[in-house]
Amino acid sequence: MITELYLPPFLYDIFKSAVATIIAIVFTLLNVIIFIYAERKVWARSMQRMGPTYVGKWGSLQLIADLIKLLSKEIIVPSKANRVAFLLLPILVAIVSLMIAIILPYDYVVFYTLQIFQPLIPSVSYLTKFVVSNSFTAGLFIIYVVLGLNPVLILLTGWVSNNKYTVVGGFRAAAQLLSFEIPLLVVIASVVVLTNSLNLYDIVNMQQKVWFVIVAPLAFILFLITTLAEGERTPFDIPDAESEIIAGWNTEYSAAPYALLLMGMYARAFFSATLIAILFFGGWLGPTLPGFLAPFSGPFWLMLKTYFFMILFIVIRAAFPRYRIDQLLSLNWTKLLPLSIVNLILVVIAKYIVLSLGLIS
Amino acid sequence: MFEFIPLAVALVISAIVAALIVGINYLLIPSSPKDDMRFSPYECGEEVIGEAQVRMNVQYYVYGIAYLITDILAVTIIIWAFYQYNLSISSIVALSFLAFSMLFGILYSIRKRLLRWV
Repeated sequence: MITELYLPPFLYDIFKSAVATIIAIVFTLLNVIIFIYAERKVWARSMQRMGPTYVGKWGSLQLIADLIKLLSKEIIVPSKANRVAFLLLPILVAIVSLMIAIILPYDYVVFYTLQIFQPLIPSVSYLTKFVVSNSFTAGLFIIYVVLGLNPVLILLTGWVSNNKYTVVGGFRAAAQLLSFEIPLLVVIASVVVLTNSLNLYDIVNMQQKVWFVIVAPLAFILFLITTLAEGERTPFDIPDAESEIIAGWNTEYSAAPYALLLMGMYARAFFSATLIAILFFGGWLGPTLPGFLAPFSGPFWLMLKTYFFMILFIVIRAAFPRYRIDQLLSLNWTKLLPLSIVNLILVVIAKYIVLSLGLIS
Repeated sequence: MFEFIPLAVALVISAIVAALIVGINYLLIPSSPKDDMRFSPYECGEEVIGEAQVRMNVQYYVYGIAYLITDILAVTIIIWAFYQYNLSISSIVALSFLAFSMLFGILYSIRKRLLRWV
């Protein structure tokens, strides 16, 4: 049915992108729900609590119930806040977070998983032509260009809410996110030194013989720390430190705008987990699965690595105390920034060693 | 040029998804009494004292300026890493001049202890 479809090239491109985008966004939203559920369960277990148990088996429907609750609440706009900006900014935060899903290989994951059904429905192989995430020559760069809008949006969100906690939280968030972007970009530059490409598919295919975590272990550690800080996750969650400033820059939000902000935060953390898997752990590379599962092996390894880092983020959140803002910023400017430049030099040396051993082409 | 079509499409679709979530919320809102107290800024139930949009610590702006310097440096390094084999001599000189002037700026601000929280 789909194979019969005829469209002019430009419209065909738009149609293809629209299919891939919808798939990627739905996949991201599902994984956000899984992430929050896993976080509540693992976090509760580490405190010897049970976590959600009441709704569904093992509380698995708790997040759906929470979503329905949030969507049926009243949207309260504080009398002192700027009404238009207050309602518009969560939508912008959600857009900035969700549109990155197209660059990450989620459409690849979904479409290649569906290839399992190829013996039953042969036309499903046509879906692999709908993968668009491999067409971004500057994908890695575009991700951080788009995410670079985040500090501005968060600062504005805190400011227009016109509440003492949101203003303090917004300023803290802006200072933290701006500061940690620098080591993050320098670490990404060191990955680019190894690959000579910003395309995520090229970066994965360069790791056929050796994962980059072995070539550049320091880069991986720095990337882990800085993405935790960029995602405002513990131990770097001072922008919404609940015991100091209520909920930071999103104190005044309720109902759907709050759901959007929360979704944006968890979507970014999920993207970070995927990016670590892609940049340092060989993405979808791994042994081929046996039998009819063979087309599923790429998506399987990618998601396995992604969920591993997702659980790691959660365990870090459960295990570490929060930094103070001055400790945090001095950690960044006096330790991470010089270390990232040292790492760049180390990676240049490592590249020549690896090249001479013939491990990357 | 193909890569900008998916980005534009993704922008539109994510805007639609976000607007849809807020729209569903507007459909489901229960009718509620208009009570002024509920719309006052949250301050732990106390009476609101003073203004929220006050002058903040100057330290935040110093980090903003340091960011402006180092962000250009970081992007320069990425360009450098991307084109490592096919850069002309003049562009190497220009990039290193830019990079070293940025590094000088950062070293100056560290030396003057501008990046230390007070």
